[in-house]
Amino acid sequence: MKTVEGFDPIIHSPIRLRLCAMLFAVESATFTVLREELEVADSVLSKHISALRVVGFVQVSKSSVNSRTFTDIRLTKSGRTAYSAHIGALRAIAGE
Amino acid sequence: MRCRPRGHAAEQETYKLAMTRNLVPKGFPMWKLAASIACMGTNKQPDDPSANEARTAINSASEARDRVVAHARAPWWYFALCGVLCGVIAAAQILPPDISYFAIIVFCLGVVAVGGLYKSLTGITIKIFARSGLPYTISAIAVVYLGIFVSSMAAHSWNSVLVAILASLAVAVAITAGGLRWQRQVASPSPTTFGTT
Repeated sequence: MKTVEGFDPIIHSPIRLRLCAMLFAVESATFTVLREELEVADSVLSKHISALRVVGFVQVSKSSVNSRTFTDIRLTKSGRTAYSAHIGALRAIAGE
Repeated sequence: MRCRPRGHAAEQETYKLAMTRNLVPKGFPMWKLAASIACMGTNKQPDDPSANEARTAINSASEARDRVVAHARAPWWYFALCGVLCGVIAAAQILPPDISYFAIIVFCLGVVAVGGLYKSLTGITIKIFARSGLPYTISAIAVVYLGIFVSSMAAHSWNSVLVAILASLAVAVAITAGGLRWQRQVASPSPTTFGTT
């Protein structure tokens, strides 16, 4: 079967798709917020973030606010492009 | 006891390869290796999902988006704080130079602090110059500029203090109300979900 243009198998994994959808809506989100909303364990989320980081779709950074350390995850430009294309491909498949 | 390879030809090949390359200890059962490999996933490109699966995936993504933007709910006093900061910069126009410089420093430090405070309160950051937030950001800048302009114009009149106080209050109220409205818009659910058949 021919793959629809823009369909990205890396993003299509259910957890990674939801992760990208969350990050697409905001500039960045903390690891804690993502873990709570995805309802997965730390290790599972770390694994999926690593998978997206390897292909350059997300960027991970540490920041400190009021002596609290945050792990910020943000979608890169290529990640945003790939996610948009993937959603476009899904819409094409869904016949919207 | 030595474990002999059993099962499908592909599994046997994998087992032999793993043994040859010392990837598994001697005598490691093939069924365990097969189970481990099955859990690791595959590099094979999946086929396109069906239309129904695609709809489910889109709905799942929309739901995830709604869940994370629901975090964009800072308490009302956060926006009141932003309003006070902007009011201070408007009032600084009629203050004596020493106090005026101090007010500007307070404003600059305050802007940095409220940026960090938002992340601390909500766990997310949002681009204020993004498409949805741009009208609010431009309006906020315009309101602050107007407040500064009105205060500075009134600086030489007899009732400059009264005008500056009123301008500052107006700026503070407008920024607070605009911030709360922006927050409601950001946190509103997406209209893109649709049912599956």
